[in-house]
Amino acid sequence: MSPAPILDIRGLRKSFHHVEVLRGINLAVLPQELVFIIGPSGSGKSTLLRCCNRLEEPSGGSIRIDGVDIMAPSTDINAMRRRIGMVFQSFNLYPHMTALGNVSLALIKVLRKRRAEAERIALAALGRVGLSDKARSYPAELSGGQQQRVAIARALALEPKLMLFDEPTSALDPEPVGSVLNVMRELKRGGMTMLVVSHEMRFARDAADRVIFMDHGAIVEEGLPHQIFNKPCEARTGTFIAELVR
Amino acid sequence: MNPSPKAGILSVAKGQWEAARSTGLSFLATLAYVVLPQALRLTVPPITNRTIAITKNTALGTVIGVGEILNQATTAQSFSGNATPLMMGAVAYVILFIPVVVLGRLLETRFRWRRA
Repeated sequence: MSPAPILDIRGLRKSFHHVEVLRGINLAVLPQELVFIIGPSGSGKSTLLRCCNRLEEPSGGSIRIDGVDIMAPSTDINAMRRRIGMVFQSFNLYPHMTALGNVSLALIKVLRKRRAEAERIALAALGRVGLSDKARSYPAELSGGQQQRVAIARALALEPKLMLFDEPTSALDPEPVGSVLNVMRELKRGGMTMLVVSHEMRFARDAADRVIFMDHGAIVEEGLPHQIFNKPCEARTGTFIAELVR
Repeated sequence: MNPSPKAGILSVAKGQWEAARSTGLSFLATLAYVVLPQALRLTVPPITNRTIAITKNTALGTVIGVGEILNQATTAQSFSGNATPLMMGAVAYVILFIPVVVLGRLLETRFRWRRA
């Protein structure tokens, strides 16, 4: 018997005004699984990710995280969100706070930890992304790759059940991409459950458990990385991957 | 005339809200700890500049008979016949401006993140 999924999406729909962006998505992510979502821009992959912590309000369907229906009126969304780490394309670090401040803010204000305790946890999280020595630096003093790793540490410090990555390396130069991907590999090794929207095919090949191809708001195809990348069943998937490789 | 605090809040990027809310911070906590501190930093520098400009410009008030520092010092000088009151006037300006300059410096250091 397979374990209960950490993330269970059923019949998810999302419309912006009259445009249907997600047309009935079904997706389950098991504990410790790394699921990769690829697809052309405008296919709804970011929207899907953002529905998972209700940064976008779904128009229909259900989303369960660790068994809790995040759409239910009785669910405290703020309490759920701290169990769902999110990493953004543009990092979104708080520019007026040091790296340590960025990571410890939610620990202090949401988890109500004392400052000393929060900073201890924050330093440990920064250590996990290899930035212990940058704790006192402001975001403006860090490179893009370092900023993104601080953003990962910020999510990680809250010990999330699930981490969502929305194109985490798209805003980076080729060189620091590796450092961010290494941190993600390390998380995967540590047993983190992850849902990743990205076009880093090489990373997907060696780290993803499953790859999902989305187009026009629907899941077109899903399978093992080598199957999706090497012999996709759907013509659309093949065309997209050929474009990506080129 | 004054940079509106509302404009300051609106100029803080949407991503800041999303990042903070995604860590479980409530709307009010996000406003208090993430958005307002940035919005204030955007509105304070123009206010500091205005403070210095207004203080210096009080000298113009002499024209309509306002007894500001420079005018008082000049009058006292003509009574006493030496330059001491004028020196005291200069010292008074220094005392007035030191806190403004110190504050400006302080803000400048705190604003380091805005350069990059």
